[in-house]
Amino acid sequence: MPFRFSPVASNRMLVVNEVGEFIFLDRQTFERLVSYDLAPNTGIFLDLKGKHFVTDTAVTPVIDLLATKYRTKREFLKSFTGLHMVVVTLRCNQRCNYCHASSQPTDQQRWDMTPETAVNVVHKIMESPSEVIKIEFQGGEPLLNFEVVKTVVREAKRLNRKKNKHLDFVICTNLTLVDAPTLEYCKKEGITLSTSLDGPKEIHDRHRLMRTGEGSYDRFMQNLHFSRSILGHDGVNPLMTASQESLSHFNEIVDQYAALGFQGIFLRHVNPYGYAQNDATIQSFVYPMEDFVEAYKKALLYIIELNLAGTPLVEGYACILLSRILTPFCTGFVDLQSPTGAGINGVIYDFNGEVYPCDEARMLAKMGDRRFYLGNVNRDSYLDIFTSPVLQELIEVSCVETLPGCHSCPLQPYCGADPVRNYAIQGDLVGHRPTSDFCMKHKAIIEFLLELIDQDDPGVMDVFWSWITNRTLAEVRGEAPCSN
Amino acid sequence: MDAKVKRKPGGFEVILSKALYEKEAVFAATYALSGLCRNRVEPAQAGYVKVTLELLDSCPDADRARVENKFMNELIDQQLRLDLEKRYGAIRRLIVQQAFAPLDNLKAAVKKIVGRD
Ligand code: SF4
Repeated sequence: MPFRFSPVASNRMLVVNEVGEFIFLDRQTFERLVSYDLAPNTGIFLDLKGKHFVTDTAVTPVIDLLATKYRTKREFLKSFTGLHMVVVTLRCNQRCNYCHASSQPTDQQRWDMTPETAVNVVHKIMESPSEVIKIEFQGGEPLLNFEVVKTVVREAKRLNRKKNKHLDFVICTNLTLVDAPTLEYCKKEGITLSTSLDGPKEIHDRHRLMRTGEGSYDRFMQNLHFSRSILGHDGVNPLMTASQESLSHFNEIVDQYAALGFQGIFLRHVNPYGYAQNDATIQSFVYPMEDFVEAYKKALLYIIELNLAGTPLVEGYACILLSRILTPFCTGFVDLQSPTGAGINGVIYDFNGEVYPCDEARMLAKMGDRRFYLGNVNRDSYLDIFTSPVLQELIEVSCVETLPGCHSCPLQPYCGADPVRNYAIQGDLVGHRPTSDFCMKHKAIIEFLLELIDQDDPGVMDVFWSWITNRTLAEVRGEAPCSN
Repeated sequence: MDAKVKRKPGGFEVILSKALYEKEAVFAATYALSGLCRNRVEPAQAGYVKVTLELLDSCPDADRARVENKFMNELIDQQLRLDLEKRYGAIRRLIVQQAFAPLDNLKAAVKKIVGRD
């Protein structure tokens, strides 16, 4: 049966098939595999047979089974664009070091989305064939143009009376402007909040600043508790962005997330573009990917330890990769898909109605490069936008099966491509894998997870399964009945 | 001679037999090292190809000593991948086809490729 292989650091061969089943083989066994020299009654042959690398019985059922698994893994292609990010304003009351390339002062209303544009955005969104639609309000700070948020929610729900899709709303907010009426509205309409928490005060306040120059941490914490009191404990979910300074403090950041009772943390490397190149803080965001990967690995082991010691906390990135590695199911993850999720799984509508395949593409446009502009909701039809030559090109150049370097990589079933990032950093859509930090990061982290799975430590595997299946450790171990 | 390596200051040169290494394998191995070296692939005497690898200034010290081995191993791996693709490529394509546009008679298609169903 077909497979891909690559030597790994432990001086073994990693062998992976088309649907992501994997095995590590020592060199000698690998050579015997490729020279058809493994006896059918041996343990290793049976292991390989169980994972569909070899067969000594009928071939057709194996191919049929692999085809079914392959189709399941690619299920995300069927639903098309489900994540719709709407930038309702570029105004922001904060001036964080990551995003000042696009955030505007609070008194400049001309950077707000108008109600007319908002209605046109919703009409485009509701034309998506996807049965599941998530509308994510972004900014700037979306609460500064809350009337347009309400317009979008109202119009989407009105149109959905006929469309009958599963509709979710999320507001991405820095939380500093929330008040009781806003939160009551969110509660009534079933809107959750996504926010940013970079870590303890000293780390958070280093880059997440108010326009006045002071840190935002204290107000954030106050409003986090207030928001939870109305929306419920899980009504607010944070994201962290790792600056260079936070790499050596990952454990403290993890501790803080755990202490605040969040269900998970997503250890996120910051995209090093979208910033003014002369920015005094650029050094905080352009750091070697190797440093991030090392910090990530240590933090992941620490999170596993925490879970085993009774503090449940999911690391989001590992959870996505583990689902791809350990289950037959597909996990849509816009940032790591083949073909890319940009445009076909997620899309972003700028305040003026312009449509881009992802936020990074929008950011490039803000910096003067409109390479990825897909159209404008006020002028173009749904088909104009979503069958635009730009989007078709993005899809064509982002199938890992055909990309130089990726074409023979065994990690293909777990990995993906990011042509917008390739373009922004390496100058062309295809990119150059041997010098790509995107490739370096995913290769290192996926191989690390595969090695952990291969070690088969019962505790670690229980934690992994609890993450993937969204159950407690006790449930995974059969010590408590399943609650979901 | 299957592969002859000549060390040069700041790099090395390899003469490869085309009977053993296909063009795709040579290019793929060269590409894999293109983050460490400046590479050139050119014809040599009949039946051979010459690959010149010059270490980039940015090539980390730890990699410098290993580049030659790395290239030769990569070459063998890439050639093996091509060989495996010849053996299993048709099955791979069949799996993808069956996934998205199931065949009326999969058994017959399998038999045609594998010789048994
Ligand atoms: S990006 Fe790198 S790790 Fe991912 S499939 Fe391509 S070569 Fe493999």
